[in-house]
Amino acid sequence: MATFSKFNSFSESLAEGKFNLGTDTLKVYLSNTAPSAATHTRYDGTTGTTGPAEISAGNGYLAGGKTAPIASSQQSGGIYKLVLSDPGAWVATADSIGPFQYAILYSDTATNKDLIGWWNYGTPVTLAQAESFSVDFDPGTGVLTIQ
Amino acid sequence: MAVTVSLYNHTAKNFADGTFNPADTFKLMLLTSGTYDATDALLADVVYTQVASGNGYTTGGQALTNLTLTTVTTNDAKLDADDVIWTASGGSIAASAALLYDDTETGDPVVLYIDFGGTQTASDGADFRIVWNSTNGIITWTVA
Repeated sequence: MATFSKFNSFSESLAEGKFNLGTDTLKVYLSNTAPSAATHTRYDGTTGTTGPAEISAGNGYLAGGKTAPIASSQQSGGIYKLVLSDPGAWVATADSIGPFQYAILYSDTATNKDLIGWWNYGTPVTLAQAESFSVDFDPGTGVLTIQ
Repeated sequence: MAVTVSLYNHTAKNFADGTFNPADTFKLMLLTSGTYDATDALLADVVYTQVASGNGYTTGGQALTNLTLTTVTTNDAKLDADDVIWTASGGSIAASAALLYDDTETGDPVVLYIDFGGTQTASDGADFRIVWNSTNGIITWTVA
């Protein structure tokens, strides 16, 4: 799994109640544009700065990306941990998907579809027809912790 | 005097799931005695005796004012508010602890417990002040 980075706005947005990490629909979309932790704040909406451009829809990729189901949203000993289930693979159908280098996590429920963080895969990836790409979350360490 | 501030176990989760919202009314009450148990979730779970109403103190405590949330460093968020001041009037105010809770949510979930390390007293005419940390505010969250 690539390294996870958070958008700077996430912590404050979380504390301000813009997310409910126990019930929100969290989604992952693909981009080939480098995220800016300091400036990008939302996937869609009217407040803040739109995040990295999403790749074009088609050939098996739907605009908005895929839902990453919440596996658990719990605290233990005062440390909160969010664990997500894998969102399932993108499979290129009639033609290629990409290129993309970043998988970006956001809340589809939050008013402005606020951004949470992203994974950087290091180099641009293009799926040829019939190839697939999966985002594989670690069920042990989870996506993030808060303390 | 060693002052100890302790968060309850569920506090981080309550911010993560939106239970705690800065639009809520958070109140700080003064206690003559109490026991901190990290697993307590609601005000009714906490074992405490509140300072009696009178001499400038009102049962239930005082609502935080000018509650703010700001991004600090890059990944942290800071909850801050004005310092809380009771002015003793007609007698003294004495307390050994304080308890912050959310007065808006059902059951009044507790946020944190402050142990003063002994009984502190504001004599008649003096202020009983809770001064939040100038750097870290009330709570600074670290998201990792």
